Amino acid sequence: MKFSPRIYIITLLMLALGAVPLIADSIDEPFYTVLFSRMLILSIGAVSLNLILGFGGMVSFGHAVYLGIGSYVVGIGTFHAVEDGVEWMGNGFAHLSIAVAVSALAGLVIGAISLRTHGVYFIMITLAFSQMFYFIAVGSENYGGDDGLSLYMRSDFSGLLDLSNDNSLYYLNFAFLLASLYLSHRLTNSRFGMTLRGTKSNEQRMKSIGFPVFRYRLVAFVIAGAICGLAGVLSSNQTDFVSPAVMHWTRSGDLIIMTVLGGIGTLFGPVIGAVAFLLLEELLSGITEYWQLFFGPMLVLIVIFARGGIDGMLVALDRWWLQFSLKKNTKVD
Amino acid sequence: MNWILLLEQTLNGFQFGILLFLLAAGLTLIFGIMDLINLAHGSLYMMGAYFAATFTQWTDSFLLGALLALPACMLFGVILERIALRTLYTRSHLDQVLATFGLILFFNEFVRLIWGPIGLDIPLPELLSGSVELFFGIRYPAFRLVIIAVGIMVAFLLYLLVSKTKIGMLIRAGASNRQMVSALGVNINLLYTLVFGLGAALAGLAGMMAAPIMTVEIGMGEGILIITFVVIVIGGVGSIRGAFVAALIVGFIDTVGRSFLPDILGLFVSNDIADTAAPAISSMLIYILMALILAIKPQGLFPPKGA
Amino acid sequence: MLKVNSLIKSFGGLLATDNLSFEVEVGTLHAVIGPNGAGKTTLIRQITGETKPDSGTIIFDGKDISDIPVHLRSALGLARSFQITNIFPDMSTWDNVALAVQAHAGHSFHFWKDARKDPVLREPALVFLKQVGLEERAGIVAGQLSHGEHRQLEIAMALATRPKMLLLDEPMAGMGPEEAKAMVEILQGLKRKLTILLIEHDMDVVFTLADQITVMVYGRGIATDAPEAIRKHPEVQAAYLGEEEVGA
Repeated sequence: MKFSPRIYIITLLMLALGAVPLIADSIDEPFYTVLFSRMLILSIGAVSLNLILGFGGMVSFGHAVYLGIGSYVVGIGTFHAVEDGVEWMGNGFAHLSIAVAVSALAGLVIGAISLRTHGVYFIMITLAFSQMFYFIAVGSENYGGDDGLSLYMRSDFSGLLDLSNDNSLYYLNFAFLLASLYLSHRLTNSRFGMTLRGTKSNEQRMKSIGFPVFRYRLVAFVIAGAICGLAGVLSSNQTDFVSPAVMHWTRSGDLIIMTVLGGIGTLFGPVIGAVAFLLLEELLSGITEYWQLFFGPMLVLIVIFARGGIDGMLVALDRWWLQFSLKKNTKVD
Repeated sequence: MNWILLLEQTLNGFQFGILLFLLAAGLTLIFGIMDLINLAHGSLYMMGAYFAATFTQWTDSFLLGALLALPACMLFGVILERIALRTLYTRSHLDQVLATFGLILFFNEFVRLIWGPIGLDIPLPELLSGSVELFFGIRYPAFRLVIIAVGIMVAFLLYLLVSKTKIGMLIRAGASNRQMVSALGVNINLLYTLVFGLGAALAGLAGMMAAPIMTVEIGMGEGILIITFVVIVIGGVGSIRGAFVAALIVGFIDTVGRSFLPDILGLFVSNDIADTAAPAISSMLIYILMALILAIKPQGLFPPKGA
Repeated sequence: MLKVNSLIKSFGGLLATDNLSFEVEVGTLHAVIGPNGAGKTTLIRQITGETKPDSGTIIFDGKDISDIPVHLRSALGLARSFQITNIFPDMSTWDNVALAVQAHAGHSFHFWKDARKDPVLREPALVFLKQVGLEERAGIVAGQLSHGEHRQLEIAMALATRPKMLLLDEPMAGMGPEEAKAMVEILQGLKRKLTILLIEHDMDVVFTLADQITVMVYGRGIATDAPEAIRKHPEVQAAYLGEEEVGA
């Protein structure tokens, strides 16, 4: 098989991500495990967004709402588990299934209304809906309201996994990332995925060849929401905290940036984008307190110049390498 | 039933609606004509407030401060348009969202750099700091009445501009058929810059009028921006008339809803539940309204023809 | 196969379709011609359901389809090719046709199997590509095809939905002589197997292929008849007065 720099780099990235806790432990900097853990969680969020944005062409500006739902399921659950002694509400499996179910339901309701609109209306409505949920969270005084809620405990996986160990949590996140990547791979190459791609490419044509476009989009929307809800569960475990800020609309913006930065409509793009985004954020904020002054324009420039995102650049790298190695071989002869 | 409170809150609702209209009119024009989603419109609102605050401090007069701030906003908008936004007209909405989102981050930091992280205070101008007696012996803050008056005047001027002048005709034509207008030999670039400048001035005006009664702080644009989006969606993107009607409705429902919801809820459920649920639900009111309207009319109340 | 009855459609003050009626027999190629602005594309849009007529009915295969939405008309056997190329530019040629096949191969709530390796979709797609002469270009990204190849792809996609009737909206538009000849051959090959409604400007093509011709002027159907009769029709000649002798 021909050598492809792109595949090489992506493989390296995934292996590196897998090895982070080991490396962090060996240099005694557990901070890195936490940092990269966050990357994994947001990668899952970006993978789910990529399904509807990258492959389906639906610019949803309210995707962080599912992170919020997942987070609050854990927050509310563990709150009552500890405060009221209702043990099952602290159970991790309960958190996962309830978060997925509620997120799917929310996706169904939001999608059913939003997907009847197009273009800028769709963007604004998804934004408005996520604000609605944001305000519900702000208004829930019992669960901390605007200040949020500290978690008394992490999700209890009854002996299978001890999430209070940061490394265990890391590998749980990593496992879910791999699972969501695989799911994304299968979904986007299936008939269902082809329908999504076609709808993004030319909606009018899809309708005229006989596809009832709305229902496929809605299902995709629900699936994306469910996966992101799962990421939300992991997120609150990671930070031991939940607050409305998790689903502030700027978080939805961050998810879009990660997805586009990595390369929309590609499998590993979201992961690359999330890692790049958070690394950049980490680096820049270390240099100057006014890092957003640079980050902002950087985004603008990326949008203008780097179509196809980082993955697009890797594809170009592949092409360059191919030409380069062909030239090298002919020279030798 | 506290009628006085109702009247007060109705007026407050109209006042809020007027501010929303100023923002929405600019945003909807810019979208209708240039097909540009500008998330940074809230930043223009913020700059209006900050410019006004600074000029007021320098000149010791709110009126002078506002008069200086208005052209400053317009200039600011024009510069922004030429440097950053021009390239976005031909791009997808997704690209526009991303780029203008980046601009928001930039402007917030920019403001922090120059004016510091703590918000600013603009005192009410002395002349208008009192209250005026309306009918039934009710007193209402003079400044807020001025906001309403200014807003209605601007709405009227906009109406004249769009329906009676040549530029207005170009704007209306541009909204329904971009290529036609440029084929007619009109300098499209200039038209776009002017429209954007107008939108920026309107947003800045809203910002400077809001400044004395709300806090001038970083990020003040984002909260009101989203409500502005709701207004535009309800009114019909690209329609100024729609923006006016929707802005007043949204302003009214949001303000009056917030004050009276606990009481209204209290009619159906216990006061305890009403008090806890009310704040959350009042924030949701305008979104519920939006969802209802879109369910019946997905293009808003007054979608411009040819949309 | 298709009956258009007293169709009327106006846009504002403009009467695009003026009490138009004609019938297309099963297995024939029926051409609709007329000067620019005669309302031919509006006619097609009403037949596909993209535009709703103000009054009149459309009967397809014995059913009144006047109120049926666009995607369901396709399920009934009506397929259309577009005047302006309307394909999936970022997907491969093969993918394009396979999607059209997929649209009529049951529902698409299949989430697991790789659709690009599914013979149920890929093989028929290749067959249709062969029918229009595009099998060599199957792997190319559709956006990179030449103009003529786009038109061929349009037809392949329409065929892939296994229609009973094909609506062709100016398939020859913008084609050079070589490409046009290839297209005529393709259409000749399709004639016996399908009913075809053809909108075209190219008179040579129309008179070579058509079994029946309807002539439209300003939204009105001024004549519907066999090609030879149309050629001699006084009103038709009057409509084309000043242009080259009809079909010569």
